[in-house]
Amino acid sequence: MNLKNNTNNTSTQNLKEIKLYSNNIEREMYDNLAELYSIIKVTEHLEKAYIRDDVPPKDYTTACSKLIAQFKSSQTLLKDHVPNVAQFMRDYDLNCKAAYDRLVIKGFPSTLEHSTNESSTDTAMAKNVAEAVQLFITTMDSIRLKLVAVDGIYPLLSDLMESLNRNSWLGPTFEGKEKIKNWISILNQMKATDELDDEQSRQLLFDLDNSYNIFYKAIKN
Amino acid sequence: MYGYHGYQQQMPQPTHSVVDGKMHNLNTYLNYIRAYRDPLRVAKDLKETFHLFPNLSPYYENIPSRNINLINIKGTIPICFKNINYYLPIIVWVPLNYPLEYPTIFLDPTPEMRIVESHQHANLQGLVYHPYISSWNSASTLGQCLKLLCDAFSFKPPLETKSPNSSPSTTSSQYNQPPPPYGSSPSGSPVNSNGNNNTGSIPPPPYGSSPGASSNYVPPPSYDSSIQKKNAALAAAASKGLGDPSIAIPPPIPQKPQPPPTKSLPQIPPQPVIDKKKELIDECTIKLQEILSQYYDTTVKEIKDFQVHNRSLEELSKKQQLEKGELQEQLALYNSQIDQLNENITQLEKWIKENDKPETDIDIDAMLGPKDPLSKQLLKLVSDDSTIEDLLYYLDKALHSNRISLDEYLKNVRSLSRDQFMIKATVKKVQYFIRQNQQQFLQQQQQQQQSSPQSNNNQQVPKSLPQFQSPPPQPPPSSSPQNGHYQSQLSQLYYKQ
Repeated sequence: MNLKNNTNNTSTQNLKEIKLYSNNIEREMYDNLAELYSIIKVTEHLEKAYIRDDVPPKDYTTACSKLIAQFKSSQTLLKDHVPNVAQFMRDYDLNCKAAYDRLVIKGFPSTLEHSTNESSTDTAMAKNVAEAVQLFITTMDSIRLKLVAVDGIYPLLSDLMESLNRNSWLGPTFEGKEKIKNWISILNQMKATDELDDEQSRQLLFDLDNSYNIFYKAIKN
Repeated sequence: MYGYHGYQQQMPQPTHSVVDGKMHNLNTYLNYIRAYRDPLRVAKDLKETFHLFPNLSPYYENIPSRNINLINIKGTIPICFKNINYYLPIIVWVPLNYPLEYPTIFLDPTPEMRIVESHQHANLQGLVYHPYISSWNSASTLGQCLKLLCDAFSFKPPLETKSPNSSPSTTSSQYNQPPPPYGSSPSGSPVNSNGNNNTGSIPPPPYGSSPGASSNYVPPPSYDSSIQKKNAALAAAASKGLGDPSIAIPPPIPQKPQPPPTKSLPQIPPQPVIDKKKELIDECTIKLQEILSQYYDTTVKEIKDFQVHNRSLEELSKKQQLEKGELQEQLALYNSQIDQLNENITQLEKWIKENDKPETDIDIDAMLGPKDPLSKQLLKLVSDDSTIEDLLYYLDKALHSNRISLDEYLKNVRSLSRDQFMIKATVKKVQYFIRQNQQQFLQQQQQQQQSSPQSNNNQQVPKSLPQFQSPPPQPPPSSSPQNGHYQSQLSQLYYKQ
């Protein structure tokens, strides 16, 4: 019965190959989706390469930051089609946990997470400390001044993070960093136009204050 | 002439016991016969008659021609002609419809007697006529009738002796000897009335009474014995030489009653026996009829039951026929399916034989391939996807072993990923269309089975052409993890024809 019915099948099916898109609009949509896809994929490979130590940290940091920025731009571009990146990744069989974590959740390269053991001279150290202090104060002030938009706070926090990381003498485990890292993650997941509400800004201020105090104590030692 | 009153004086009243005896008999007969319209009236009239005429007694006889029993009165009635008392033997038949119907009165002459010709009141057969009888109505009574007859016959007796000496005209030649007393002693023959009739001192012949004194009447025990006694008395009288032997003919008691053998009381039982027999016969008939009707009822019921049973059996057989037909149809269907499968098997075997070459000679790509362009496209896309995946892996390796720089690596990975995405998107689309086609095909099959109109098929065909209807659609959903995803693609490959 199957053999006989096969002949009937061919007559009713279309015989042409299918094209993915048939006009420019579709083509553009698919191009943008492809960019997003490729960004995630590259990030994944980059992370893996970094883990395998195939990539020096500096290069990694640069590339990763670039990718993160590109990711963010493409997200705004594809707001309508891809409301949920996780869903997108499921649709296209994109099994990139590390990339998802890096791009969506953290939003900063892992070098910023964990400070690299860079040897630094005393002057550099002093410079770093001063810089960190200055950043602390600037950030706290801007929060107090109610400049609580994400796109305002985020760069400050990431700079602060960076400078703390540069303070390699602090050691890898500096509690102050944890809190700031968390906040960066939170901000990363928020949109640029979002603002911190009162509770959050107070909390952030409090956390920053704590970190600063800890930092200060650490300096004294 | 002596009228009715004279007779009354001559004859003493019969005693009540005698009459009662007769009445008892009469009532017995009436109970046996049961056909009398008015038995009470009959009894009343006859009682009066017995009182008036003590020589009359009741009997009953069967009338063969009419197949009934009738009561009759036999005996003598007294007449007085030329101062001589005579007794006329008569029979009175009491009809069933008495008193609506008149009683039939016959003269019953003895062999020595004969009926006077051209008598005004009697014919030669002995039938008695009288105006009273002619004008009989329900108020008439037998007693009155007999009284009138006595008067009439006293005026002109209807019977005469047949003796050669006497002439028919001489009325004196008639029997004048009063009947001897019935059952009385021969010595007691006081009834010589030759010279004693007028004064009324002649004692009437008492039935069976002792001479002279008692006037008891005893019913004659039997006709025969009374006749014997009478003959004896006659002989005694003759020996006394009282009368002319020719004259001394006692009033004959009819020895031959007109109907067949006389019946007296002791002879009554045969009638009841016959009646009983008849009754038994009737009872038997009734019982038989009952049994017959019962049998009829049960048989009818049985017949009905059998009919119902028959009908149900017929229905069952019809049902079974239908089922048999259905089963045969199914059998034929399955046989045809078996044949078809056998055909397919032979086809496949043939094909296998044709293509049964050693492994190295077989070109798999020539034997096996996608059956339509969509499947072909799908196959190519899937293979490209997997290729890119492999490429990326090897690029990682190359980077690791420092064969390429990071930039190159990143650039290549980037472009390859982009291509991979395109491929994946196309794969999804192709899959979607293949699924659509399959669903259309299934729908068509179902419609063919339901014998749908052709218009539906026509509408279906244009749908099979793939079109993305609106710009940026949601890409169709994918399904399983990567490996399973491709397995489902491969499963759509069929044999090449």
